[in-house]
Amino acid sequence: VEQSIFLARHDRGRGASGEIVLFRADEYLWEQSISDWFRLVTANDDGLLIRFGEFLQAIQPTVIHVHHYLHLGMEMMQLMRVACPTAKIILTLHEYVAICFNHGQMIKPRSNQLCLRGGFEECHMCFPSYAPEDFWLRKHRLQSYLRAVDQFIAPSEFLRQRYISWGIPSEKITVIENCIRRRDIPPVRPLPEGGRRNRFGFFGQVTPFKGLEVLLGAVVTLRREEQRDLVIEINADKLEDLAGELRPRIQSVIGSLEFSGTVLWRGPYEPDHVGSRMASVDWVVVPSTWWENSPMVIQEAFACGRPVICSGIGGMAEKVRDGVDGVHVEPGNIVAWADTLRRLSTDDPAIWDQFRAAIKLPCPPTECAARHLQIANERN
Amino acid sequence: LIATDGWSVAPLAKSSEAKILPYSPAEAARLLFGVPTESSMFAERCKVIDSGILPQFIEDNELCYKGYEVLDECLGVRPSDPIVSILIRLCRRFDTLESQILEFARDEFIRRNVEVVYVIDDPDIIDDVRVLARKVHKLTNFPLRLVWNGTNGGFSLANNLAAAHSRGRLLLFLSSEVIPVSPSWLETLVGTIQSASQIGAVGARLVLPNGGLQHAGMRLSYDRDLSVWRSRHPFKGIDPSLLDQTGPFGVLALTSACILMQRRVFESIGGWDTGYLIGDFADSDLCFKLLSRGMSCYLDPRSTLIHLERDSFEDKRNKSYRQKITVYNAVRHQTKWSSLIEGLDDSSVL
Repeated sequence: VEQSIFLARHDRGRGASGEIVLFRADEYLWEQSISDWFRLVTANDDGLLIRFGEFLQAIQPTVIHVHHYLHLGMEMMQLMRVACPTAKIILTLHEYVAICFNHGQMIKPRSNQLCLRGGFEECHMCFPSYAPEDFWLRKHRLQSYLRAVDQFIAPSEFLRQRYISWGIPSEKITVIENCIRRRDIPPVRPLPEGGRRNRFGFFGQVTPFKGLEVLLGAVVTLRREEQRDLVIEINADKLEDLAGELRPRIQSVIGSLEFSGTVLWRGPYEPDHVGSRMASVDWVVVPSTWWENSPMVIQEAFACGRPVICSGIGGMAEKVRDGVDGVHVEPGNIVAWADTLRRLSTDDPAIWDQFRAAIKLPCPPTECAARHLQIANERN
Repeated sequence: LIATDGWSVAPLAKSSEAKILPYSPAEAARLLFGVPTESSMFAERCKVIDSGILPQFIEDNELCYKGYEVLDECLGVRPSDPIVSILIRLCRRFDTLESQILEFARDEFIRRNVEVVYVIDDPDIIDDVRVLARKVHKLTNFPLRLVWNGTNGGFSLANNLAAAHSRGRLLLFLSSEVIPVSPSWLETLVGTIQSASQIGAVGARLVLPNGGLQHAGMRLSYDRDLSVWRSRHPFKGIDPSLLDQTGPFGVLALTSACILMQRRVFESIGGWDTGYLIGDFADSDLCFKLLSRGMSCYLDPRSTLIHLERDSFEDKRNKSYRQKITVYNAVRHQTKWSSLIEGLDDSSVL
């Protein structure tokens, strides 16, 4: 690679000015936004047609790798095609935003039921203020712009299949796992005499779809002495920083659990500290109630030699082998989660050793980069 | 309103005060149709009373419409001698323009041989349409032309205006609600219309977003409740693969949502009839003009487009007014084409 230039969407709090500014050598910031979230329309036309057009003209890329259209709009795909007719355009898909208007989650608003396959009538049922025809038009618009993309990258086979059934030709989507930094494997947590593998770690953002409520709800249903047998460490934003209705709901269950030492709210962490945070737990839990794509936390857990307990659906089920390097649990089922926590926290530690031994380390960054380069260098 | 035999007087209807009918034909019709009549008698009333009043308003309106200055904006360079002009009227809604242009832009035949003209038939959206059209043009480099005269003339006037401001040897009238989903559909239709001189018009098969049939030719059916002949879309909603339609076939009439014809034929029959209120029945009327000149209409199912058909369901608030407009137009249509309708065989009637 002769040169690579980075362009990131940016918000300086002055709205979508459309300006593209040099941040530091080879790195640019673009103040752009979306004016219509239903159809994913770029907010600032001049910023797109003039500023971004000039940006492309000046750097003349041979490969354009787009990591998202969120906050930018879908039209830029077509502009890249026209401005750089011979460039290879690659897009990495991260969730289901083009398929699903519910924040790309493919779960139904209000009921939070999992959605197996969108459709114009079904989507209208989820969002009655938009007619089925509006959903047809939304899909047609997004697919028309995505036609400019030469190759899609999906971090999971599950996500790839969702986009294929939505209409992206299968030969145009390749699976390449997200790249994570190589790190030292933290030591196994030393067990006291007769100790059990009973410390569970939750990592990441707390949103309604991440299932923290399910996990805590499961702990609440355990008997007092069962609760004393395990520890849940929550590595997430400060509780008081949680937005919306989630904070009071979580606060109401967490009070006594925190007091008794069953739940430890460890607060936010820097990417560099993932290893040390994982060092103090035996298992990593991913109780998400949506499909997920390829959660980074699963790879981080495997890179740290920690088996994963996850909801047995979507990208999670694909990445974690049930009974091999982790355990699948029915998503959102508090009783099932409680049973799993009870069982794993009282099992013979030798069973945990088997799980750990089965873990395959994630693909190293060099290999991941090589796979990306291979796609970038393939002729259109 | 009174009735008298010369001796005695019987009051028939009372109105609070005399009103002058508004200048606009649609508004005049709204006020006139507000004078109540039983629905089974409304067709008869239209024939005797309303048909004597409204045509003058419609004619005056047309004269006035033709007097306005026509403005246009050309984006990019159109083919100098286009085979086809695609003419699309925009009114109220224009959110499909982007999808249409994106489809046109990836169609090799259209890029080489076709000019696209949008006639903006709604003064409220002119600026917004121009902004969007410029953006889509810059994104695609696809040339297009916008035409408007700052008023709302309705379906027939606006489409006649668009035809007059286009250059193609063939004219394709396309609804803004119709969107292609793959290339070469127009090339197919052009091939069909050029295959025989007695083919006056060709239409594409139109399907709804979920794949059910919307249009594969129209037939007439007699509405006993309203006492009028209305046009109907046979097998609407049905999966078209169940119907044995593989190649072009003759139909009684085509929908105005997608109809291709030779410009010289279009001009020789005087274009779209402007005498209907709002535009209902103009399509059937046009096809009957072809029929009466010995030509016929064809539907080519090899060319299948999506019809969103959102407009048809939007006037729910005005259902009774819309129905009266339909009856008025139907009366005009069946009076004008009475002998032709009498001669229709079973294949044309539902």
